[in-house]
Amino acid sequence: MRRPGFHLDAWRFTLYGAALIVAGICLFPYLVMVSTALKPDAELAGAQSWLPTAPNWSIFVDIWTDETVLRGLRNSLIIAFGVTFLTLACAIPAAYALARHRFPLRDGFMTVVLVTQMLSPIVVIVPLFQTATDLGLLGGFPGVILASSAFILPFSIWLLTGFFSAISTELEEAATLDACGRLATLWHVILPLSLPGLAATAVYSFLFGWNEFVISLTFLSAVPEKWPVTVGVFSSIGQWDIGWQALMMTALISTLPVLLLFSFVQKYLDRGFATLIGR
Amino acid sequence: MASVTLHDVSKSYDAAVPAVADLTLEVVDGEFMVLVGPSGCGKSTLLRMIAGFVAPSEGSITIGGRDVTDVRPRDRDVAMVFQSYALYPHMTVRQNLEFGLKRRRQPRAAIDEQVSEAARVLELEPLLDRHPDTLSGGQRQRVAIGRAMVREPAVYLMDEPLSNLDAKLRVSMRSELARLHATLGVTTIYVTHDQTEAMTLGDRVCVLDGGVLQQVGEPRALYERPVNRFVAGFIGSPAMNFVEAEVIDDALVYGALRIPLDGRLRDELDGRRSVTVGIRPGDFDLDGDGAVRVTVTPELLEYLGGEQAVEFPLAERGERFVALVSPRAPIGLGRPLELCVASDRIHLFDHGSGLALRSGRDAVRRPLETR
Ligand SMILES: Nc1ncnc2c1ncn2[C@@H]1O[C@H](COP(=O)(O)OP(=O)(O)O)[C@@H](O)[C@H]1O
Ligand SMILES: [Mg+2]
Repeated sequence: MRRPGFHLDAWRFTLYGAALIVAGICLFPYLVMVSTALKPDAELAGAQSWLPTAPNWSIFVDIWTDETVLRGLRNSLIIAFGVTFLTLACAIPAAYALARHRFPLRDGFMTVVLVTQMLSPIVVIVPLFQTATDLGLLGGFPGVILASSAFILPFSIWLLTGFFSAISTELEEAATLDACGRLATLWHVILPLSLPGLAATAVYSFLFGWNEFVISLTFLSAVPEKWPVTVGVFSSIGQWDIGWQALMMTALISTLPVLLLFSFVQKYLDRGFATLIGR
Repeated sequence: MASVTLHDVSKSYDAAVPAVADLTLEVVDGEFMVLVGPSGCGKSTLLRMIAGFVAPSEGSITIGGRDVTDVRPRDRDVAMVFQSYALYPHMTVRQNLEFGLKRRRQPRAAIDEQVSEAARVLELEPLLDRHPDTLSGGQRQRVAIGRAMVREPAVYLMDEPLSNLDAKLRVSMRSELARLHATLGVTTIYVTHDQTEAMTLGDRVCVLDGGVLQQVGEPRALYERPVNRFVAGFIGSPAMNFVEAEVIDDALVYGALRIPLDGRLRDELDGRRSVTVGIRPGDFDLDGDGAVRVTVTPELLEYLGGEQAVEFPLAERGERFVALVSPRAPIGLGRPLELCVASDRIHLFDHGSGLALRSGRDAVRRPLETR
């Protein structure tokens, strides 16, 4: 008889090994970022080495005194939160209506919504720019937030429609008898039961807003004090001189909010994806 | 408390056949009315029209004398127990019970009193801080009833509330419901597809088929005097036996079965030469002095504990009949057996329409609504 323990250990070994490799691949860019940020100028130019020989630790402190970096982070946060808020504010009522009402052309509408998701911002940036100019939305956050939200709304609406449809109508009828109108039902019953879906939508739109580049670059080009980190980093790549250390440091910092966000909502996200793929 | 009346209520969804057709029903104040019928016969639709979730295509509904046809569900003063229980999964039992009262802005003290009273009656006290997904089916059921109770509505509506429970629990919850209704005395309209549940719970039972009201009456009336073949076959278990019999020489004859015509049967036949005969399995006797005697050969015996079911054919290649007899009766497969039935236990139905035949006087005294 073979000992079952052996099997288990071999299986674990393989599993952890695979996980380590994946983690290594994910972490490698961070390693490069940190190591580059710590290198003095001299080491950047000459022969490449993995680790700095004389690390310049002060970069960790200096970066926080850099006005442009701080401003960029603040702008990115404004845009990301704005996009998250606007997306949820529009997607929730839209998805609720689609999940609960049968109206003419409903299926057609769902398809159109899905099709618009296939457009990437870069494809429509010129007409978008034109529209923003006409509406006087250039040079400010509202224009960027509005345009960015438009790109994630389709996905968000589909995702939330799925979550809302899965909630039993008897539950809503129970709420109706408990003196809830449409809005109260949404607030007291539908939304609390859709937290995983709401978390997924929020994370997705926050990330989109945080990483957004093309729209900010076009809409905000004339106002550097409103540039988000993405545009700031891009523009710091000068023609002659690239401030590698600052660049890497900024890139590193800009991943922090994303990490924080994920650690907060991970339990909802897990449930959200579990629901999506059918448990 | 209140009475509930439905006047000529119809409901058609998109289909050509209406889900509920031209239905008139009066539920008396304090009554336990059961709506029963096979799946898809429109019971839920009817209940949901009373609750206000579905608008009738035609007709009107009154609750406590007030026309509520166009009144919102929340303003109808009804509470519902759903088939899926529909407890709020994100709230504790206490929050589930409180929610409707809070939404109605009742004072805190009144809410606490209502909730603890319901928790006491339904033995929910140890569960108040648990979430529904940690409860058993029977416990969830009691919470669902509690949520309806705390509201102190004029009418309880229940849509197959016991159908998700296992058989044993269903029986105990059934008597619990009967006890609750006896104490609270609130008008209750209860939907089920289970005729045993209907017969045991209902003050009166309303039988539906294909969206059409078949008969309303006390359980005993439905059992003893079904108005048509559908009700006769639906109420009672095992179901009534039916055969098409011919009048031959002063008797109704089908295979080995020969029913001598007496005054009542002759009256009811009213000159017909053929008719549908119905006999309940429980009306067969082994050693009675019933006028109808038949010798049969059992083909299947089912021992049920308190009784045994005997299946036998009455004619060659005819359908099997079922009779219930004492479990101690010395019966053997293939051994001829004499059964008898009292003549007044014979039901006659019109061949074409399926309507129960009544003698002239009887038909006048007993309209569709038998009380
Ligand atoms: N929302 C609906 N839309 C269309 N048809 C429905 C709807 N609800 C019920 N029906 C139809 O109406 C008939 C009666 O349904 P229902 O009242 O649920 O029956 P029961 O509760 O007696 O099983 C069925 O044929 C069903 O398919
Ligand atoms: Mg039903």
